[in-house]
Amino acid sequence: MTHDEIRRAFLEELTHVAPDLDAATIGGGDHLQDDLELDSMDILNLVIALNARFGVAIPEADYRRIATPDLAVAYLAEKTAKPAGTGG
Amino acid sequence: MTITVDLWLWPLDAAGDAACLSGDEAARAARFVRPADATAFRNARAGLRRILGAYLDRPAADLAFSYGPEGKPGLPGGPAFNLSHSGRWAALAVTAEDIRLGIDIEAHRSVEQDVARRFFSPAEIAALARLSGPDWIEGFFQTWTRKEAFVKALGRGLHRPLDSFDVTLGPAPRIARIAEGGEADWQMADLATGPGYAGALAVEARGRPLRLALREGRLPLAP
Repeated sequence: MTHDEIRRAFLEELTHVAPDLDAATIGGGDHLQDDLELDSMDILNLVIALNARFGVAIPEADYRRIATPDLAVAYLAEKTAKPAGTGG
Repeated sequence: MTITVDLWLWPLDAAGDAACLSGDEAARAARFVRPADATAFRNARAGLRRILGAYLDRPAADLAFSYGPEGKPGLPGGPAFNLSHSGRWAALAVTAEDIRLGIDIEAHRSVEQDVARRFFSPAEIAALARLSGPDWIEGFFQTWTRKEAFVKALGRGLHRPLDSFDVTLGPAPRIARIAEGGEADWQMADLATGPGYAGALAVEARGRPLRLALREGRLPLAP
């Protein structure tokens, strides 16, 4: 997936968890809890949804790495990247 | 000697007087993307300052909060307090005792069953597995608010693994297990929030009896 595809998919899952958010108004640097007011349960719902969508299990220690859309896209790109040498 | 915990409830959706907020709080409110979130934050903080100012006989604007590593606000010198908000309501627990306490209220909403399966402890998952439909939702939020109240009392946010302790499901709220021990030091109480909400309080009572005093607002909460 390209970074743009990952961002679109991430925003889809985010707006599914918080349906009254408008994807068009969410900035890449917006903090999910401080700016978008997601609470603990929203974050865990999002972690589950990202796992289902990307096949990436995000441990508690990595929650800081999905704290904004920009951070999350970089994190998901890293975790979904094919290992070097596998082709494709 | 009985520990008294005062409970304060107030609505977040009315236009409130936010003049008492600190510069940091006003800036934080201005960051919210959704105007309703900013209004709720201002009303929560203004209410918190008004109430705690009355305990200390000081103007609301004069209070200087300290913040724990995960952002839990406190007041050096007391009183101990914890604030929660969800849906239309804020809930504040305050005690004069120098003890840890946490409160959580949650408006029911749709939730992935995987949240319980992935994050709750095996004992909690087994207890919830006996429920289905609306009973499962009610049981989930009962479990969640009890767990969240304990985690908030510790001030650890999501960095405390949720499967490292068990809370009970059903009419006798209690912490049944803590991985490192000490569960007997804690007492829990459910808040009679009524349909559509759940709420719980966790207090490090160390064997002392607990009394909950409703000081403002009404239970059950209006939807």
